[in-house]
Amino acid sequence: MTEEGRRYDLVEVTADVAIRARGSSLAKLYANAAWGMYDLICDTATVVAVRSWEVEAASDDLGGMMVDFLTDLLVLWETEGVLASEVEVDIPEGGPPWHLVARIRGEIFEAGRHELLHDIKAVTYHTLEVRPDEGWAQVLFDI
Amino acid sequence: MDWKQVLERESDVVWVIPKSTREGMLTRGRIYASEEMMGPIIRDNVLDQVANVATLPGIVGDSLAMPDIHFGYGFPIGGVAATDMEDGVVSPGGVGYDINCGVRLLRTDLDASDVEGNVRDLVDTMFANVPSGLGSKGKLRLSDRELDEVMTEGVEWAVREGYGWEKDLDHTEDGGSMPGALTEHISDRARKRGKPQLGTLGAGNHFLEIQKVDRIFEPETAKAFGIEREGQITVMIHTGSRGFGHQVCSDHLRVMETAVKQYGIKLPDRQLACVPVDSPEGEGYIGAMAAAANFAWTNRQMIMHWVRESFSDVLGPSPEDLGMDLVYDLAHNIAKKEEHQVEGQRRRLLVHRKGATRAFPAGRPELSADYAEVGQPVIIPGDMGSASYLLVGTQQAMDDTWGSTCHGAGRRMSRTKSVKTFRAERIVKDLGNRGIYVRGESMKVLAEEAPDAYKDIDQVVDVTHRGGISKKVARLVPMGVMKG
Repeated sequence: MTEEGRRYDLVEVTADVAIRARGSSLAKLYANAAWGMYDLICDTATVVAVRSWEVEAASDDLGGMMVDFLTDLLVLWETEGVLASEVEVDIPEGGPPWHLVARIRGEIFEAGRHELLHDIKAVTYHTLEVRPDEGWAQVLFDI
Repeated sequence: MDWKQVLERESDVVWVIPKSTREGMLTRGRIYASEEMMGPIIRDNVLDQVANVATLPGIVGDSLAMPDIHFGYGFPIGGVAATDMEDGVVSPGGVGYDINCGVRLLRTDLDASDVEGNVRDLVDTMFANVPSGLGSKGKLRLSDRELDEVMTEGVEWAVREGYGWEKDLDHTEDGGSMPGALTEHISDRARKRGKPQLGTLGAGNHFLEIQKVDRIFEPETAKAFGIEREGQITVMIHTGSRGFGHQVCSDHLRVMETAVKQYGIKLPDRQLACVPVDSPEGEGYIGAMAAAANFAWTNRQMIMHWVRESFSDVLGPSPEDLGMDLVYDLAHNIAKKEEHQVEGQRRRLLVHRKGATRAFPAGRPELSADYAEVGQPVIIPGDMGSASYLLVGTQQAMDDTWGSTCHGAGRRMSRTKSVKTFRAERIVKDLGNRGIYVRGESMKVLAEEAPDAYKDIDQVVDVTHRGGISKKVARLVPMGVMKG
């Protein structure tokens, strides 16, 4: 993938893992952060898009909405085994307040067929930044 | 900030960040580290976090850092801070997501020579009996009512259900049951995340380890803890409250994120979100944290029960006949309501220990009768290639660190760098050559947990010993390791 085409970069932190998502729009930043999180959870190349799920989040601030959105996906993974290989996000302009609707496509985890990589404990507020004007957002996960 | 200029040296293992270093600091920062360890600590940017904690409203005494300190979120890992119960705050970031992550140590009557040919079999049997690994689910299906009982009763529930022995309660911090759990402050999501994960080890740095006593430093104290001779076999269990605690922390941090503004609290880091201890949000969090702490104690109790069964399955005699008594179980991510002496007066404080261990001396009412005259056992897990320690709490810890000490080796290398640097197969082979059998569910986790990704446990423990905040009792080395 070309440098411009990368959805996110991993950021070095001592005990946990952070990602810096890239995106030319607010919606892309959130979608690419979600891609980054799924890539931490599992080898997404093994996930097939056979079903879809919808997730919504709303907040007065973009950082808070990022934590809420990714936490929703994390809970969906841990409680129902939902792994995604495609993420589409829609965020109407004009916030705050902001409203996000995401459609994720993927399937339910099957041991042996999907390779898991990390247990993510939580999506944190630490060093959290959402900078649509500069085309990046940073999120730190507690691993 | 040029920390080398800022730091003042109090002794060969204690460093001070003066209160005047940064605006907003209400107290000093105080760090336990040797000169050699200070360089990496400075490079890790973690002293900023020690200074940030010193700005928490109602902080009493210093913002403390143990020698295994490393960069966390909000609080540093290895951070200790006490706040006033009447006009101080509670901060979930001072506990961490893995509420009551902790460690327990079992002693046995066995010697290394009794198990040398069986280590592989023992580890493999534990592997079969204790669910572990990424995305692992437990063996039992809890009802909502049972989960409520786990939350409010902790280990008492487990023992009643047949997991372990009545006397295990005496050797668990808080008797394995923190009072004041408020189940109404537990979300449906936390319940849903937690229910299938009770009785699971998890992954990451969590482990089960068969160890032998390598060296005894204090024979009398060791004997009181059931450690009688070098070569004696012990078992260590390291895990926490799994997805249940993680979600409790996430839920309450979100509430505090909003509430912190209402209380007019200004913070240098959003992750430090906090509210007054006696506010509705504060009481809600503390009640939910107690529920998660009880979940974690129950989790370790159930795992210990299966470890005992595994030993019995492989070796023959019953766990009782193998002398598999619990030495102690303690939390190293928790906030506790405790009484302490502050400038000659007794005060009730909320002591946040995030990656730090309670280390109470003899005479404290919290200790069971058989440890009352010796002091509290302190268990410090190392990384899988090196050693772990059994220490004892001291009066000096009471005076200097609210009865706290370190919690482990502490990472020095990031997970991403570990995976790039180390190969899991090589780690397994190298440890095998040293007589340590390692079995892990995930090769990637093993590479992330490479021994060289951690600080030197001997150095970390040495600093707590020299600083007087806990004393060495015994050094334990691994023979068999099960990683999630």
